Amino acid sequence: MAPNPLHILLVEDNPGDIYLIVNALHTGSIPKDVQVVEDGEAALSYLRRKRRFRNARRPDLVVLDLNLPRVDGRQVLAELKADPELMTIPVVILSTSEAPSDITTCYERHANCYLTKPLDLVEYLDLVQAIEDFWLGCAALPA
Amino acid sequence: MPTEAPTAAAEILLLTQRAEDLEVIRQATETNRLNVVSRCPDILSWLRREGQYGTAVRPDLILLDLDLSNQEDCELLSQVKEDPDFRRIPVVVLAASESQENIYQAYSLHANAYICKPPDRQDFVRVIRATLHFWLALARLPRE
Repeated sequence: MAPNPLHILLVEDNPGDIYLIVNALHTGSIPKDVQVVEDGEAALSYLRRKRRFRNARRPDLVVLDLNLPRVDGRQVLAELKADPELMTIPVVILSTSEAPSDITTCYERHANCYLTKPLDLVEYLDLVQAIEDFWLGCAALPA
Repeated sequence: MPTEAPTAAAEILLLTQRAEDLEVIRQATETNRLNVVSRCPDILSWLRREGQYGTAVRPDLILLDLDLSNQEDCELLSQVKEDPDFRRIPVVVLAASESQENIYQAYSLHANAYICKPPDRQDFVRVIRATLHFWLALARLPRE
């Protein structure tokens, strides 16, 4: 394993989704560590290394749900992409929302891509694998 | 199934000057439509439907073969991503350079993704296929 495996921040409040995404990521072949935060406020604190996240590592990739407690995922996206320190971190939106307005707004706010959670379990696992394959295996990420 | 491919063929707008890259990308395009220009200003003319591009179709995905150590290439990316009419169209940068400076520059100018073109042709084919599959069959793209 590389000394510094890729670091993914998963922002997701649903325990079922967390279980599924984290397990799917851990079965992938690319070494990585995954940190989970369950609301938008914690996500911003993590990214800004505030309070209990003082020693947090800068993530190489953020996987962000939209409907989150405390601070909504749309707001997290807007703040992250407006912050010169954080804006280069690629953000993958992974949401149940298929609303065209959500898709458009997220791209307007510079989400790097928008994916919807499949209802079918096998498709869901394949999609998480595809996130790994493209973002960790194919795209070049800023260090 | 939420991740199904769009029913209509997707429109791809590609900027490249390299015939050998174009051939690989054309093969990977499958049933989608590939529109190609070879000069930076033509991307903006295409998007704005200026001059010879008066009837150009709006792309679903833009692929730009860029060298981001070049000022003109940076300006093109920044112009596309700052334009309120076009900035939501995903832009994937294809580049020969693996320099962290260029990668950082691409993401700070809001490229949706940066792909280093592998020197080996088979690897390049694989990367292009994976990129187009991810964006056209899995990602949800904004309508208009």
